[in-house]
Amino acid sequence: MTRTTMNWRHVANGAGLVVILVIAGFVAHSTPSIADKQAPIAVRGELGEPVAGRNILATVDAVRVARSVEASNGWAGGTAGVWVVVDASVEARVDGLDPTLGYARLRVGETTFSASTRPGDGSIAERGMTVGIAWTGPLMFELPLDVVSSPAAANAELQLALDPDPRVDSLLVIPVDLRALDVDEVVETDRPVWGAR
Amino acid sequence: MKAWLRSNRVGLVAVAILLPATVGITFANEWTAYFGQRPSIPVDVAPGDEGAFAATGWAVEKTERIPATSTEGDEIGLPAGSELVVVSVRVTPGELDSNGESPRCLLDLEELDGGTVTRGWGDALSEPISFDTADGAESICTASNTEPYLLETIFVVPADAGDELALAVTVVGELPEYLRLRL
Repeated sequence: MTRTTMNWRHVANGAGLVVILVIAGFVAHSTPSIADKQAPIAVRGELGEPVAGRNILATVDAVRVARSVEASNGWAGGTAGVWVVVDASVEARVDGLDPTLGYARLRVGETTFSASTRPGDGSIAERGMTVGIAWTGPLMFELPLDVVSSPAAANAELQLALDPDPRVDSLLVIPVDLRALDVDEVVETDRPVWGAR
Repeated sequence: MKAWLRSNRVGLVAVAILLPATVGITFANEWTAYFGQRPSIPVDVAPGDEGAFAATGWAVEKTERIPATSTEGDEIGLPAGSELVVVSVRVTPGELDSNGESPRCLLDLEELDGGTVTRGWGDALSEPISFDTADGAESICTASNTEPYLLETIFVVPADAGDELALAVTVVGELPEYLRLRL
């Protein structure tokens, strides 16, 4: 083997090493993180339209904002902020082995608010769900007044899933413009109803 | 190049065999553990037949579908657009466990399409309806029952649920197998 051939082999080896390092760097930086791999699978929908995920079907009919709520079961919710009342219809689609509406949240900017369970059976939050038979009724979110009037409120998102931990499953996302809604003094909600409307 | 391949052929062959084998074994282990912990292997029993499962005999005696639109459905308080499926099963405990008990079980209803499960329902014992179980019948598998007994379980399903239904009987000690009594 000549000295020239030896030199070229060293150059080729060095170039090969650089290529491998570049590929390794690309793979390392583009590989999804654990959080990315386990993230909920967002299914975006619109107000008034049915939105279907793997094991959830929901229709959000209306969104209202009020200073107080009078629920169908007699519960009255006063607050220093406001209530965002979401009228929705939710059912399971495939697996009916004890699913509940375990994840109902309203995201405004970087802040997420869970549906209140204070109204008890006056709300469909954490209701047991049946495959193919919807629960229709209100979800109530208690928010600070300044959040509803903040710029981020124009791009609020209602998020619904059956499992309280929606990772690696469908998460229904319905955009809501809270700033466009009037703030009523009081909102009366309908009794949750199980079955076809 | 040929000389390099020839001189490293043992290592290359080992890599070619061991790499896919490692991936295959890893996948097989993960999936075996996953399916082993859930009812994934049905033991099918044709309508009218008795199945032997968990050292116990299981035979469907009667299946009834009550529509919400019927008088009975209205009295039960079924939700609009639904039906109540009532399944009566004769359970014949055989070999008892070390505590002298018959098997505990979980009961689900499966909707099938050509043998493939399309939808499933848990029992409706805690649903807001008024249904009275038949006199002398149990609504769940009762471990203290060591003599033959009648098990009556109920499911609320949408009215569009298909006719190809099966009662799935899961006994934890038998997983991943479960009994599928065709209705």
